[in-house]
Amino acid sequence: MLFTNKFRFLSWLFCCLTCSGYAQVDTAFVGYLSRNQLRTEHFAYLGKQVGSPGTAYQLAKYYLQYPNDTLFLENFRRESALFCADSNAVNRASTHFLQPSPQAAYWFDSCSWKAPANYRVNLEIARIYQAANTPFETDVNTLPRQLQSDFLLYQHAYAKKPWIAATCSAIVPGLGKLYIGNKRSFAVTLFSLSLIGLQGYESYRVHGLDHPLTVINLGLFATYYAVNIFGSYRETHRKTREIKNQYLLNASTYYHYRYTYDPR
Amino acid sequence: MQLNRPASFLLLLLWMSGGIHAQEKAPSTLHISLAQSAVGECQSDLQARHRKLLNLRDANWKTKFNPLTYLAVGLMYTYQNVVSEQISAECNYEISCSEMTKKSIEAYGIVKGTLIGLHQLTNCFPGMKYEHCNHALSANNKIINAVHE
Repeated sequence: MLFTNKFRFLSWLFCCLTCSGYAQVDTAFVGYLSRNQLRTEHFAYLGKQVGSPGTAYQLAKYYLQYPNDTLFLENFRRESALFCADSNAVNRASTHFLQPSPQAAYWFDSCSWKAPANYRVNLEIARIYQAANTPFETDVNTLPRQLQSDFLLYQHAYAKKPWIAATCSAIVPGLGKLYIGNKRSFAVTLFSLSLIGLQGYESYRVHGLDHPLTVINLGLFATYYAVNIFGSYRETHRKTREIKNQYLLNASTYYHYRYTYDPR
Repeated sequence: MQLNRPASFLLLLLWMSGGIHAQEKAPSTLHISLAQSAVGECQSDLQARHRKLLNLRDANWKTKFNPLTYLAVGLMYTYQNVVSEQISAECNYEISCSEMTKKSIEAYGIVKGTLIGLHQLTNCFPGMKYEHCNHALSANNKIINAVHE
């Protein structure tokens, strides 16, 4: 059912009555729709106002509240000056783009700086994003205290080199995984590879090299050994990326709670 | 046509597995769709019901014309539809090892694809969840993984 309660019906009725009469967006009404999360009515109202001044700004805020990064940036480009005049919306957008998103780089490189320099929070968030891209050029003391431990963890993970992990795994099976901090994975790899190796050696000792069992066991050992080296290399990349995303997510949560978004 | 004993046994096994599978899916599609809507079945389960044999639309020509690709993907498909359902295998990952291997072979070719699949298989043990960050675990406590990183 479209109208689940009388407020929704009244909102819809208000949209129908007001849309044809006024060319300007009613910001108070949009604020009401946004606060009460009346998504359908909100979209219907803004949809009927397309072309009026301020609609792209309101649509950008709408796509920030109900996330759609592509449409947000499209509407932001149309009325970027108006959007940047709203410090609350800029901070909210920066907080949102701290979360993993393909458009995050575009926002922080091309759009975020358009906001006035006195938007302290926006500058802080931009610095946090920059720190994630260049961890060794950032002083950890410039970041908020609550995020420093996450950042140090990320710095630690960023310093790990995949080729060193692969070489370690080639020398001692699983050592590359220990190098990146996966203790359980190291233990399992070392134990299972030793077991398969011992089995291969035993079958070679008893049956000789030509026996099918020896060939299977040694083939299994060689495959597992190659997978272990490849896995260490791949795992280093994955772990670094994962810790980076966790750091950015924690930063996003921190700013989200600290500066509660007011859609008005 | 006369079939030898092992071949006929294999066919019988395949037929039986198909029979069990058919019994599980006995309710009509309407019932299934109603149950899905009521229980809120997740997308991965729905995808698992409609597994494709092969999807090489975006693959390069080396992968498309390599017979080993078809052999490996066929083996994975057989495992998923015959063995996996009988042993009711449960995976720690959002994308299971066999599905990951299949998709990786489609995306990267036989060598790298097999290595990626085997790497996931060797990393599939209960304690592995503790070596991932919080955001890398899904709501049902499975590790979120992706073919393309």
